[in-house]
Amino acid sequence: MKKNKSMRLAGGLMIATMLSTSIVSGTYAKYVTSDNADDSARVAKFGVTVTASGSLFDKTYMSVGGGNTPGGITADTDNTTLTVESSNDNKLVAPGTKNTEGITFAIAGTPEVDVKLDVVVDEVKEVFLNAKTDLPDMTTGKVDDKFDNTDDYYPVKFTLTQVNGDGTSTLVDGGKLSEVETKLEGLTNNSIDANLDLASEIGTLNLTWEWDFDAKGAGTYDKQDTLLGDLAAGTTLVPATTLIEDTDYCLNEAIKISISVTQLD
Amino acid sequence: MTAKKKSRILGIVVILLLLCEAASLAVLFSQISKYSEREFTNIIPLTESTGTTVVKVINEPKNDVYAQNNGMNGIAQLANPSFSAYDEKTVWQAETDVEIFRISYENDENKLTVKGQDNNGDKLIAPGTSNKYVFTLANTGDVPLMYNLNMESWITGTDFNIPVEVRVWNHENTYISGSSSEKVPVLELNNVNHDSILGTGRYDVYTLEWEWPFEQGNDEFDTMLGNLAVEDDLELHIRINTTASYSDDPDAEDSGILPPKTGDRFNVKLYVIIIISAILILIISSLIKERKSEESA
Repeated sequence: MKKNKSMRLAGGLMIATMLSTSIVSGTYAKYVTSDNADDSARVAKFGVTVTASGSLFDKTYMSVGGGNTPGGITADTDNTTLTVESSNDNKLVAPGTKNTEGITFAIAGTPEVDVKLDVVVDEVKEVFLNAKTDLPDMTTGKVDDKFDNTDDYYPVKFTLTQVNGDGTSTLVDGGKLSEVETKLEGLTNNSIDANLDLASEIGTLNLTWEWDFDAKGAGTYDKQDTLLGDLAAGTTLVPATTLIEDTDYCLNEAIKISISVTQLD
Repeated sequence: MTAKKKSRILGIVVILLLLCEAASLAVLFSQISKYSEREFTNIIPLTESTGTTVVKVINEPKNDVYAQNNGMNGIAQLANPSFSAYDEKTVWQAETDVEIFRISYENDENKLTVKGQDNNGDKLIAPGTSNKYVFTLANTGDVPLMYNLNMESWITGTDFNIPVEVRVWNHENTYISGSSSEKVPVLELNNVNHDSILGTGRYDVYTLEWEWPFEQGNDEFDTMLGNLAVEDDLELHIRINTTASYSDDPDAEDSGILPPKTGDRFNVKLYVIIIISAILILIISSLIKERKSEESA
């Protein structure tokens, strides 16, 4: 019986000790606590490049042996191969000239932000001779020689191709510059998602042109071409005819293409 | 072996058993105590260190008064201070990663406009991105606390400044960086050094808002940073530091937001103590009963 009491006492003491110990544990502290939170972010990659290379027109053009292509700035030293050569600093187009390399725009990069492609074409001018009757036939120089230009005549034909992830596609095949303008501006889009390869989505645009020397057989457009050439030279028209520049004809070929890739908000 | 000798050995075994139980319970309770007294979810334990013990004088007739243990009369109960910093997803501990920045951002039409390459989980910033990070500093203990909130920000990978702007304010619309009408350059977060007090069971809420303005008038600079980022990691870092300690400021008790009382304030420690004590009493009782039956036999 005495042992039982001792045991009970010991047990009670132990329980009391445990209780107090457990309560006290964890509280012997100076109450100081500190926490911190971190975060970091890196600047999203842009890295979009729009590269333009080449040119459309030149001051000189090679002979047919040289491909009728732009002669570059070597005109003075290599003029034996040139068939078209500007008398001043103006760039020229003429029957038989062409540029098979033309101008190329390459869009590349994989930005981590949504982007928008903008293609703006302005200052477009192209050589033409509108449909009109009784135009002077300057190929003969005779007072009574006239010809009818039955359709509007655009001698310089443009070809626009696009190479992207889908392959090569011809957007304009031997068309007018106004068609090129429409197609290029049609590439403007609302949004290209982040992380898409722009070389695959848009890729490369190439614009070339040609003023065919003899598109539909000998002499098909000789009268139109000659009249345009004489108008450019200021030659007196025989028979005398009144033609209004930019209405009846145009003697300039020009285009300004601006391509930009902009982040979307 | 005589019955007396057996009884002595049994007694020693019982005592040793009790000592072991006591030791293990002490350890157990020291751990449990860190998670007890939950008034909020996401409570983190205090960092313990040696020093003066704070006591709460229970028999104070007017207000709860907290004082250092300097020999005051009265029944003293050891206080249970606790401080917690957390946001809606994460409880802060040392160097906790939080979501001040994001891995992707949507525009007003809920369209994803910024996203990292290869889903590598990198958090990003870009022109036009912004975010608000809301966090709570809570006094989850039973003594008032004073705390310090300070911030750091720095840029790595470039000597250029990243044109991110920030402002920081609390639930009372008190701005500790920037103002309601103006954000300040992100590196001015290094000037944030805010002291405040929190009453028992109260909390303060802070909002850190940042933005890289889409139209800040320097597209070329933004583009340059974006292009540099292709080759190098241009990183912006933000760190928020909090330190809390006991406060004897008489105004502290009323400082901070008092959460509404909801539900049962379940005391885990008390329930565990009761259960384990009951088990021990049962063990001891059965041992005593066994001895009695042996002796009677």
